[in-house]
Amino acid sequence: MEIDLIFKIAAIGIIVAVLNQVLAKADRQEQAMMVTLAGLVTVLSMVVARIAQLFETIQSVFGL
Amino acid sequence: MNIIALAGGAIAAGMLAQLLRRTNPEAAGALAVCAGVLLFGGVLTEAIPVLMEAETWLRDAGAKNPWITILLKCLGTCLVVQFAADCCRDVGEYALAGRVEFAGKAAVAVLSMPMFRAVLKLALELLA
Repeated sequence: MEIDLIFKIAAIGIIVAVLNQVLAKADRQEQAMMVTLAGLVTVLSMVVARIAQLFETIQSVFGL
Repeated sequence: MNIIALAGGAIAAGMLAQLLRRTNPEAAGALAVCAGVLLFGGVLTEAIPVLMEAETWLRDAGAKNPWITILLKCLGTCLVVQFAADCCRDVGEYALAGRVEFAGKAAVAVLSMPMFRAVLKLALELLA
């Protein structure tokens, strides 16, 4: 149970949310959107790697 | 199988997901799915000896080899489908979860077709 990955994702989420607010207030909607997108892509790439690993384990255990 | 760590991790992930829910919903969904993956992966690697033991019991009970592989495949399919459906529900896609569950039911039905045929043949022999 690698809890640090969960804290990493939470940290990225919070940073992206704060940056989004700051950029929105500075009247730069496009950049705020870009920052949110970038944060989401990094988070999802981490999660997808773990999901692939989990599905490989299931395939090897159950012979799917 | 440190159940305390698993439970604590799940609660922490839940709280963090709740924290992110308002400001950054996508990250909250991703965090919930990631916590599910870690918890499930952690438990699965611990549960492998249990499966091996169950397999030997089945073999001792006289079950033929193809039946055991069908049983294990159906179990694996159900686990994967349950996980995918719960992840879809977690991020709010209820219809998608229903579709995944339907696909899982179809896959299990296809997988266990030989077993149905054998049971039917056995029944017909008993009747005839």
